[in-house]
Amino acid sequence: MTNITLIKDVPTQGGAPGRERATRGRGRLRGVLPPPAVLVASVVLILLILVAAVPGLFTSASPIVTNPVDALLPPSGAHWFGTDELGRDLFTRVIYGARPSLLIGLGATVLSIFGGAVLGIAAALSGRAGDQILMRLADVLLSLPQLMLALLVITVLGPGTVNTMLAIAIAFVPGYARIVRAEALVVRRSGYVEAATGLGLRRSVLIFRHILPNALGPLLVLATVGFGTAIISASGLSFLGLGPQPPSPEWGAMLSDGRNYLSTAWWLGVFPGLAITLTVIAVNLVGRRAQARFTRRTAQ
Amino acid sequence: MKALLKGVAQRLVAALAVMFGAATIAFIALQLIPGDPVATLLGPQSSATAAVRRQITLQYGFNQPVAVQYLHYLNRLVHGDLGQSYQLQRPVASLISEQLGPTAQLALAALVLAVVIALVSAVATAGRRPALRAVAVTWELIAVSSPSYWVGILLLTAFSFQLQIFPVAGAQDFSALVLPAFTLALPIAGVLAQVLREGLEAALAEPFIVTARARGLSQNAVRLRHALRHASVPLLTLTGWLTGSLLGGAVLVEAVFGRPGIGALTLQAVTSKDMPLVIGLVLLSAFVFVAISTILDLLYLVIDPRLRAA
Amino acid sequence: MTVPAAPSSTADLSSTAATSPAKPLASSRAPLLVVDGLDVTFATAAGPVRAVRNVSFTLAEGECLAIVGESGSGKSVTARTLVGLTGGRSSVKAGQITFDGQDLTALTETGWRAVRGREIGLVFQDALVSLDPLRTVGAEVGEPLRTHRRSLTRTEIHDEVITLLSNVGIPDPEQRARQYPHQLSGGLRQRALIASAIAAEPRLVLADEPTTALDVTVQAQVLDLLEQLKQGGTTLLLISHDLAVVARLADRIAVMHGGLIVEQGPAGQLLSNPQHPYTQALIAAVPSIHAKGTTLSADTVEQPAAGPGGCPYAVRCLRADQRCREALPARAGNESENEPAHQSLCWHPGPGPGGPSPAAGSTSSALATIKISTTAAPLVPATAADPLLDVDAISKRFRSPDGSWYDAVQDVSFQLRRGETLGLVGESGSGKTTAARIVLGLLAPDSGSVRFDGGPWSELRERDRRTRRRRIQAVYQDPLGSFDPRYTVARILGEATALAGVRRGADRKTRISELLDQVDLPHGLLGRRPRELSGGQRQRVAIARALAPTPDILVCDEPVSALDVSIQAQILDLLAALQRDLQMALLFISHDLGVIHHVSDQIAVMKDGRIVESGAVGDVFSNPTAEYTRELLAAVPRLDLDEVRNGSE
Repeated sequence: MTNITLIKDVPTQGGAPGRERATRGRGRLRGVLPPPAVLVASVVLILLILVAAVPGLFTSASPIVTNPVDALLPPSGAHWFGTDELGRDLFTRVIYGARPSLLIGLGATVLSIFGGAVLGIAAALSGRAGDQILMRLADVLLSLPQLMLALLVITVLGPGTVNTMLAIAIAFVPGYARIVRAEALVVRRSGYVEAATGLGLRRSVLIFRHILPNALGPLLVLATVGFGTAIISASGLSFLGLGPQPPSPEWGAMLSDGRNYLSTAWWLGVFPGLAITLTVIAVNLVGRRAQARFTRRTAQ
Repeated sequence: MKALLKGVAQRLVAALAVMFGAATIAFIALQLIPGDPVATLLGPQSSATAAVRRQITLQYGFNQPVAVQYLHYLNRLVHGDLGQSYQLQRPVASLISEQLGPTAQLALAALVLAVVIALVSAVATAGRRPALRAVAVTWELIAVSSPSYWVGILLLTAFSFQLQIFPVAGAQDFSALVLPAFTLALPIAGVLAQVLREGLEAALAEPFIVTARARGLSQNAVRLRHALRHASVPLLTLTGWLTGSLLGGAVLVEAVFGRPGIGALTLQAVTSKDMPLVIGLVLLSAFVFVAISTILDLLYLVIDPRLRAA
Repeated sequence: MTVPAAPSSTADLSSTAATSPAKPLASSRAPLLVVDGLDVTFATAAGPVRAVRNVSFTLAEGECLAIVGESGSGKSVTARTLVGLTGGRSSVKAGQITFDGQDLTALTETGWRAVRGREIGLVFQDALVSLDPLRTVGAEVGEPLRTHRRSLTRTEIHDEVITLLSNVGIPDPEQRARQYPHQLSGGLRQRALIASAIAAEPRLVLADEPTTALDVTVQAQVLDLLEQLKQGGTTLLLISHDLAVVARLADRIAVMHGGLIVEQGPAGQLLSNPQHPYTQALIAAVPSIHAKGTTLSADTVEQPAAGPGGCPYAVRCLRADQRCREALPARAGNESENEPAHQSLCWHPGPGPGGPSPAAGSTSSALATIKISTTAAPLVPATAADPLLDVDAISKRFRSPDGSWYDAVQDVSFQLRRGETLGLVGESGSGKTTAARIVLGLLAPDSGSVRFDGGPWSELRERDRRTRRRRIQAVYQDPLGSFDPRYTVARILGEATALAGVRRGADRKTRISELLDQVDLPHGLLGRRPRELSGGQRQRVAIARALAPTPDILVCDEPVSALDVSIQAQILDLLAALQRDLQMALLFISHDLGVIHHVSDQIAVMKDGRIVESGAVGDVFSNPTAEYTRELLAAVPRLDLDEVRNGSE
């Protein structure tokens, strides 16, 4: 599981007195491929959403009806991706598998954003004591590998779609909370918050109007990339048999089933994984682009 | 020096605190499992009598108040007793130590591989021609977006089944280590390469680099002598994540390649709801994480003198 | 002393010199560096940008040439060209760049590496970021030795480093060599940076803003060091925006604007008899020369911009005509017979309206040395007996990271009257910003009190104080940091006017309009974000925001420190005009004595958290009683033209 939530350098507000520099620095260097790639990625994502929402549009076969006669057929005109060990059309299963993967990823991301935001803001705005307690808690949770934490939660709650969502969300929350807290602390001490206080703004208004939006902004952008990680985690847990239970199709589970037949049916190991990878690449591209634009918008 | 010692002491205390917290969370998780622990222990088919049940309850201390159980638990932990596996009827500690070997081997190999790949890629591509940079960005993206178990399956298919170069399963010798190590290393290498490359690019844009070049240093000398040190600093913040990735990734990779190890043990423990074993493994992960983070935190202090309290 | 033949390029510097019977030039020694027709273009996303256009100058051995200009003038790029470090996106073309006979235009990277550090050294501003923070000072200073003198052993290099450090005046060099840059004070760091530049004994040292980030007293010491270098025979190319700094060291000055050298000549002559309107504006904008009540900035009428071949100053110049906008004169422009080698690139050279008189060879009275002018009467007579702001013995201490207490402000008292300006001056760490924040009620003093308009202020609860905040407003040092990055100008001013009690809708729109007019900002900027504005524009928005509730007191914390001199002049004039019109009291905080002298009626000098002296500005400046005040005044680089002219003969 790779989690790419790296805490970014926050541009410093206010600096030592100095002259304005006219020489343009090197353009902001980000790992973003030029826009054509991002455009393609966006199209792919829209397509995926369609696939997840209305799978019937893309295939007429059934993903769960078995057909032992046609077991383990290689890719052909009739079966684009071949068939699995129970004779089901792999292409259809991959199409129908989009929904659970995307749903779990989305659900986990939304839950973790919410949880992270609440904890992070609470830590930043409460006194030293509250901050210390919450951050120690986050430290402890962060000391466990995300997969382990998710596994722990699943052990307690049991496998299944919703539980997987919860498990992944819980694994992401402490990381997000730290990020929000760091941002909120910086914002709290920033020049514009001070200026707003000087103008006579009430504290509660200050929090909602200035602190919250600026503290949460980076998180929302980071979460777009986190969405990709959530998808990988979700399918990983499914691969281990802990996600949506059979016979409902899910990419990770398909790979797990297919592993047993690899010597004779290579297509079972390729296409579901390809689907996951392409989805995550698309999400990452769009997410990084959003990140780059956001940083450019708010940096000096 | 005094500042350094103070920094060291602070970190050690923090490490202990985190371990303590992890143990507590594990205990809480234990308490949260729905259902009767005795029934879980005996399994669904059991028809044990009430007397047997009472005996088990006494033996495991299920009848005592939670606080007392907690204290007993902590006490046992401090003595290195991780309890007894419900399913396998053996001390958890020995189960874990048996399986530690192959996983440690795998993790270490993967770590070395990942670091080497990342270093080479970053130094070769940072701040050079845009075409090189595009190549770097692309491979990093793919490495990071591909699920590790899928990469493992692909490699298995290609090298083991089709080309028959590497063994399909087992953990006997070096050749059995190659594919799993590479699989585990790839996503990690992708992230490390990206962070290192971006760190190098950021460092190369700093004013002191121009000063160094104005002294007559070559592009390469400036990279190796000045920029690399700066670029490694953000890497150190990643070590926690790194350890976690290695351990977590091991679970998946061992499953794909059929290797024995901590990962396989964890999977078994989770599916059979063997709580003591799960807890033991969780605590192990926490311990490894904390140990490595602390060591690297201390390294951080050595590399970046600005961090020592003035 | 013979005058050497001019280089064969179109530079005509010496042609008149060879024939004129005038006194021998400073550049009568063999030229060490000859630059002719230098053009540097950068490839940017917005198209090619000509950063340096057709620049030519020569530098003789042992001489100091200063290139003066504001940001964007191309001066730093010119320096970088001389070490081949303009970067990958630049294209450098020149008729000639010759250093000690060697053609620099033909150098490959390997060739450059032999030149950099050993023949030509480079010193940047702000040693904190120009020295590698992760390496020891000793390692940094020794690096040129390791690079260029490979035969030295480690011990020999170490010894050299120690010698170098003590030569630049760093006490206890053994210990300092083991330390890291952030552990040294600003002045020592800069000296170490200079040491690293001269380690391999280059013949030419380029110093790009070497003293800008330093306190005034430290600046003086570093300038002493550079002077020492020059006397030791090193040739200096000094780059700065600060005419006063440059006047002290330079034999010749070249003024750059928009990539061009607009005027060039011996320092004394250029400063006393500037020909180009831009040079004149630059000199006029330096606040230290003028007393309060005078305007610093020339009336800048917005003119149509010049075409690509025209003069970049035409957009602001009062003398600009169509010819100026279309083309520049060829370089053989305007030399008066008696002043060889002083040339300016202008169709209408000579003293402009309100500029200095052109009496050749004499010092103009308007630019007479500032042995401090007499006190200008405050423009608004001090009224009421009760001071508007009464600060009484405030103190504040902070906890530093290692646990010890640090007294930021100790027992500070001062008063501010209606319509008056109090200048709070001090170097970094003197506590002036902390004092300002206490005055604004953003920080509570540990002891003492602040009273506002006869009533309590610092003792109030925030709830009660909030409603009165309208009457004290602030302009902060870093305008960009004081705006919410997501807000447009319209929203910023909208928030301020809302808090000032103006109702939503037409009222608010009118008020915002009024504010923009007051600070002279075009309405078209309303939709922009501060990040998209220039430094001067941002500061105007900050002032507009502060004016929204029509405050009685305006606290300005270093409002012009980050601005170029000419923009600074405009903002200072704006503040003066606003004070006059709105009868505001101003608490003006700065480290720049010249600025303080120009704006204040009363001043208070702070050091280490205490006020060491206070009084009417004229009195304090002409008769300082405190030791520290004297030190400060002595350290300020002056535009003292008598001294300069005497020195260059």
